[in-house]
Amino acid sequence: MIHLGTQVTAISELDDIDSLVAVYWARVLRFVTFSVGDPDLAQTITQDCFLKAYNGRASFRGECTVNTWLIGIANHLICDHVRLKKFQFWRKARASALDVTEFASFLPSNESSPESKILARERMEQVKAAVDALSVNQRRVFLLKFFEEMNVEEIAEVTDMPVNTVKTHLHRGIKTIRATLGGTK
Amino acid sequence: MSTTSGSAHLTDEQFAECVTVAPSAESQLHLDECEHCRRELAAFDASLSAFGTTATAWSEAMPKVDLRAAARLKSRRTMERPLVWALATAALLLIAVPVWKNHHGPSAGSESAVMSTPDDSADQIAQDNRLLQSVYAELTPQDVSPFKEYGMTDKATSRTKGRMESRLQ
Repeated sequence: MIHLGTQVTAISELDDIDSLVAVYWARVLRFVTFSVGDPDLAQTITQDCFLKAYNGRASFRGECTVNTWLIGIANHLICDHVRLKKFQFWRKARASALDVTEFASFLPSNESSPESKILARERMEQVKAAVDALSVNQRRVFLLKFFEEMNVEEIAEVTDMPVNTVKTHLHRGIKTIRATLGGTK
Repeated sequence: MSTTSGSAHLTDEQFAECVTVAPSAESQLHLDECEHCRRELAAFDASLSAFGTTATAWSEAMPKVDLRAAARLKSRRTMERPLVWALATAALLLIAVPVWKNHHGPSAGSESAVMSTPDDSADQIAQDNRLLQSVYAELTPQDVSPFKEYGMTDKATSRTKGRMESRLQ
């Protein structure tokens, strides 16, 4: 249950476009980038997402968090892109995919020894390759679970999928990642 | 420990359950005893966590778009769209109308339009005169006039010739 106070806070949060961008831009961009695999396209979709959210802020009823609401809009925009320009979309996404070396350079250097750093980097690259290899739906569900830390019901609401379908995609995604990381098949 | 494929470790379903919700009592019992599965589960969590942290660092480093400017640009594009269409239509008409007229031949109206726009410059008058002179030269009979043949005077021809010559001067 969402209290009236929470709803008012969320709505006033939506009124300030600058703070909306400051707080949520990186999270939405992260989800969109790893869903579509193309950073340029992800920037465009994220921008459209925020414009859509800002222009339609009156329709926000406060039934979920602002982050979930934004991710839901982003998810629909991704679906629209895929539906409308399926062929060009994936061809373009493949052509300008996120460079794994560039991406790996953002790995926080918490590891003590150079060997540990190399190992951490390799594992991170393995995860990225495995996430990229998932099907579109498996990847979206996987990212919503492990990036956005949504539960199955929230994922079902955001993606318009039945709960059981979400569970199936999630389990298949985990199975693939597990196998890639060298787990028991 | 019950496993579907006869292996001594967590099945994919049990593993998925452990990372998404929580280990069941049966899985927890196995994890307490099996170091391999404990390590695998910890490695899986650590890898995903590192991946998420890296992705967050990457997305935070990406430049943020000035949404106010983007919104203004978008609304300007929306407003400009009818103007672009109007200009495109006008350009199309400018090209299509002459083509259509050429295709259907000049009408009476177009003839009168041509005639009603004379160019009275001295050059144009001189050019017209030269044209008339050449037309006159072409029309002047080279053969012997039948009037002359029978010893008669061609008064009409000489009058016309005289008028034409006086006009040309």
